[in-house]
Amino acid sequence: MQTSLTRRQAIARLAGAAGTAAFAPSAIATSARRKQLLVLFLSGGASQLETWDPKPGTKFGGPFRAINTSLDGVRIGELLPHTAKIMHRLAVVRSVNSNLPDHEKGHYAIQAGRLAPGYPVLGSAVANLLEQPGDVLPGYITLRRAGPKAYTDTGDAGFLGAKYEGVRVIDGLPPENLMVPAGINAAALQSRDAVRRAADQRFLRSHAKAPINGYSTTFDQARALMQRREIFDLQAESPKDIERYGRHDFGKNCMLARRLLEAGVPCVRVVHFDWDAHQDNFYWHQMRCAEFDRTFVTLLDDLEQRGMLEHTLVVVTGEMGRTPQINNLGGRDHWGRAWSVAMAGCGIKQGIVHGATNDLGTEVKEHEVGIGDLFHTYLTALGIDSSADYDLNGQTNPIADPAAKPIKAVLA
Amino acid sequence: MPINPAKTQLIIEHKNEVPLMSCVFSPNGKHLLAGGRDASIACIDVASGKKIALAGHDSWISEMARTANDLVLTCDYVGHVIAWDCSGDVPKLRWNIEAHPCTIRALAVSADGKSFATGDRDGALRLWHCTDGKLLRELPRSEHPLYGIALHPDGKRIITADRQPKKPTIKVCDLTSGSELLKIEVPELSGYRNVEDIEWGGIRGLTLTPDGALIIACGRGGYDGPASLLLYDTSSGKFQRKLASTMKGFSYTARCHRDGFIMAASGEIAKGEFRAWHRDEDKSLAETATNGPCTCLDIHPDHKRFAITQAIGKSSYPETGVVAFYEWEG
Repeated sequence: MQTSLTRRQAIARLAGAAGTAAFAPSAIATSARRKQLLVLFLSGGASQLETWDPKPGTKFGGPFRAINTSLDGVRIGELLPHTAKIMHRLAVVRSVNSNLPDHEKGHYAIQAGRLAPGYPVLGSAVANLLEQPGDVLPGYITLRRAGPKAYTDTGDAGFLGAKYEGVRVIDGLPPENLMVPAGINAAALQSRDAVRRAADQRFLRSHAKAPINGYSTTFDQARALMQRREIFDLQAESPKDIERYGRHDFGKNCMLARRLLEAGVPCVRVVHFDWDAHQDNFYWHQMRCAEFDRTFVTLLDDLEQRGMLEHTLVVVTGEMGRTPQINNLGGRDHWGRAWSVAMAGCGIKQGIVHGATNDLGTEVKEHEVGIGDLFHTYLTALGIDSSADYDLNGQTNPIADPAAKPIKAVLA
Repeated sequence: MPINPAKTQLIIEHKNEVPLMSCVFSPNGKHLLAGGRDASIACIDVASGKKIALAGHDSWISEMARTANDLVLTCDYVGHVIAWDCSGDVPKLRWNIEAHPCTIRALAVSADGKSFATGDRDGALRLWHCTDGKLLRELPRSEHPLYGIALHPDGKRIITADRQPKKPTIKVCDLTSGSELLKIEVPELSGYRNVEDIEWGGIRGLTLTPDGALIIACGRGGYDGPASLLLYDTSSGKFQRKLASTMKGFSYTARCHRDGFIMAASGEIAKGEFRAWHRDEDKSLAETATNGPCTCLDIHPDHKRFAITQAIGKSSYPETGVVAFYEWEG
């Protein structure tokens, strides 16, 4: 299958590219400004009660207190003290009901905006929908550590094909074989590439175009990365900045994410692991939140100071929330019926808390939001018409679930 | 006549509105204080059975300990320590300090009752005056969360236990300088799993025998292993013995009876037990199953009675708690 632009897509992309201004380059040369997406994925499922939707002093509230934030009348968990100071820059949806208390299903559904299999996840969709002529870098890059691998790599491009599959950067290292092997000179490299292209052309005469174009794109992207491998060199950052982001995996990956966005990658996803706290939930959330909190705020500050936040949508989500009930081992288990997602940046209203859960946090009581609504919202914030269709060789398929709709209350 | 640990008798049970995770008798034995998943402390008059709530914390109660002179110390998930004066008919709050900026999971009182030590989630280790809660000194920080502390009866050493992934570690340090005298790695109590990259186990409690000769580390023998106690020689660090339950789960607390046996409180999902061993024998002397996880145990100062706390619920979500008082027959 091959994708092509529908009329509405073309208009949406033009809208997305409109208003681009000269962008102050950092150490890394940047491509023209466009809408971009950064997903901070809290893998395993963060507890909404310890983060965005605390219920202190209630039956299931846990041991931690709620703290005031920069947003009048809004309190969040005390484990996020830095985030509390920038709440006026965020939009938090406290009324997500995905009803999927399952890692794999949740990972796919929250990122694809659907339950039905085979659809592209957010990163792949955005890579396709925000693609511009002349793009050479991958459209979607996921940053994560080597293990665990569970849950985080499901889905991806779906029917969009290999071209829009996410490139995985493991442990902050450039993708393997980025360097030209020793002993291969430029002439040999060019000659080999010519052979590959000739083979592609021959295959194209008798085989489906999509996979061959996908392979070809992979080679082109690999070559582009080879030419831009300085992106991965975090040593180019000052020790002070490395310290600000944190020396842990999440901090390093967030710094790398910023560099990739600066380089023009349309979508970057950073996976923050270990939120699946079936035991000792409160211990683990202290540890996880301590890493997330400062790094998240540092990243947002940097994006804002560099003028990137106005064209970059930042989404903080996991695949589900955690049970209000606390189990025997001090853990919270899987819960999809009432949890929270946060957003910032491009296309998002600042200082909004949308929806509410009941007093115990067990159910949504106001403005329920589903996975499809979130997907529509992300695309709309990026200037993409989420009611448009993919055109797959004449066969159309809705970009987002037609039964869902954007959350107007959080859109700028 | 020595106590026979196999002959125990339930005296009374007190229900509690929330699961209970810790308990301690007051120094004079008149009260038992118990705390858990709320900010109030259940205070039970041992003689009358009358139960009152003590207010002062504003988070869940994590650890408790008694001093040699009237005080019970309680600490919580947000780093506060409260001293309760238990010399009267009702315990009274003597002082309340913000000892740490995060959860305190380790608390121990010196044998002379003059000082106490606290350890927190971030590995900070602090020594305090019991009388007024003033900081005596900060000791070298652990790189891992501290889950147990003991102050040696010689007054010169402090023993800590952490939750280091893959190899929870006990350290014996000089109490004055903080310098490390001995390090004991305890991988047997690790519950590390690659799939989540999380240490699910670790040392969950630390106790010294009254003579200070042995360190008792509480925990679980692997990710899904039995509730276990590991005994180490305090001076050499040499492993002495593993005291394992037949029940899978965690041992949370160990207490030493003056007649030489060790009692442990242990729990698993929706069940628990307390069990007694002689320190020189692998086979346990007695065990008693409990309805819910047995989260803590304390021996009355008269060494004729003891109390346990439990978390009670029909499924894996406990919603209430129990304090149960037992006595040894004879």
